Amino acid sequence: MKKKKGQEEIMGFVLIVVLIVVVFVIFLGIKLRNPEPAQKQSEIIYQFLESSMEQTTECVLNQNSRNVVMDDLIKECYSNNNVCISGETSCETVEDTMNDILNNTWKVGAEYPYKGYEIKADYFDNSSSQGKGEKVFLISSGNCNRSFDGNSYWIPQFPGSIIVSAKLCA
Amino acid sequence: MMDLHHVKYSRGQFKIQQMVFVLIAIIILFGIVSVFFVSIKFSSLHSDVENQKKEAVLEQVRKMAGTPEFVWTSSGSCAACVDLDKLILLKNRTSYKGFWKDISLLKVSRVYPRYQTEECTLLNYPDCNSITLVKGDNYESYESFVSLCRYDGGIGQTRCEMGKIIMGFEPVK
Repeated sequence: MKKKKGQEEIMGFVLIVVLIVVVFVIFLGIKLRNPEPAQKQSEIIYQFLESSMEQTTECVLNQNSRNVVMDDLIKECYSNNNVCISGETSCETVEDTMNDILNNTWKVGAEYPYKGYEIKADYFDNSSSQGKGEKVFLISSGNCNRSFDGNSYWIPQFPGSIIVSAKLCA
Repeated sequence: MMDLHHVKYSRGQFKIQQMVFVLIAIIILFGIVSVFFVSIKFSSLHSDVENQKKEAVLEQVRKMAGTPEFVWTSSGSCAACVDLDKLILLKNRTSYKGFWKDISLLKVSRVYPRYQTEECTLLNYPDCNSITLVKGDNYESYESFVSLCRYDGGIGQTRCEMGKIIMGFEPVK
């Protein structure tokens, strides 16, 4: 059967349109299938981290010494992990105190606006805090796979630094 | 005069016309796709602007911790430390009535640890959670995290605890 020239051109046009639509659908499919967790720098989380680092803990390392402040206890946890007079190690006290603060600050779960949180501290050898750090502690609760607000706080620890970072997940 | 109804177009001209139509159609298609994409991209812009405004207000709220009436000066440099002892005394000062103009709510509240009693008085301090300095009727409140510091005789040293400053302003009509 002999096709008319007009029919061939319409077929060509339809082919171009179909091609564009297919490319668009593939692009949209990839975009929707692997949604990168959207991160937003949050001032309130920075304020939270800065204030929580000033928290006086219940850990006293020696008789007649003072109650250790949270940021010093995190350093202690990384460097020596000595035992407090109460019998808890410095790392355990850091985690317990941080957990209590978090539980009193943000309610998380499926029924709340925030679905989860994650707070961690890592030691980095260099000042740029690039690459993989050495884990100091990690506390998480709820579901933290989607978008989140986050920020981090820097604690100097010669020769490197400890970065405490927090995520609050929507 | 030339009669336009009887102008004879050549086959080449038809071809060019067809090509122009196809190009216009493709451009319109791309245009629609772009508008769709841009509208999705910019739909979050409004909420981003709102969030940035809110963060700016939060920063302003936190600056209250640095004012002479609030600031903790006894140890080192802590920009976000509030002197709780100062505030409990300030609460009962009649000379400070009306000092914070345009602020409908000014309050500091302990986040951790929490005590049974909510509002602090000279009798229950420091085993209480909040010190309210100003409380009006109609306000929109903002909260910023700070450290609430005081001298703790029990441990013979400064004790700082997680807290927040809550400020309320009259809503803009």
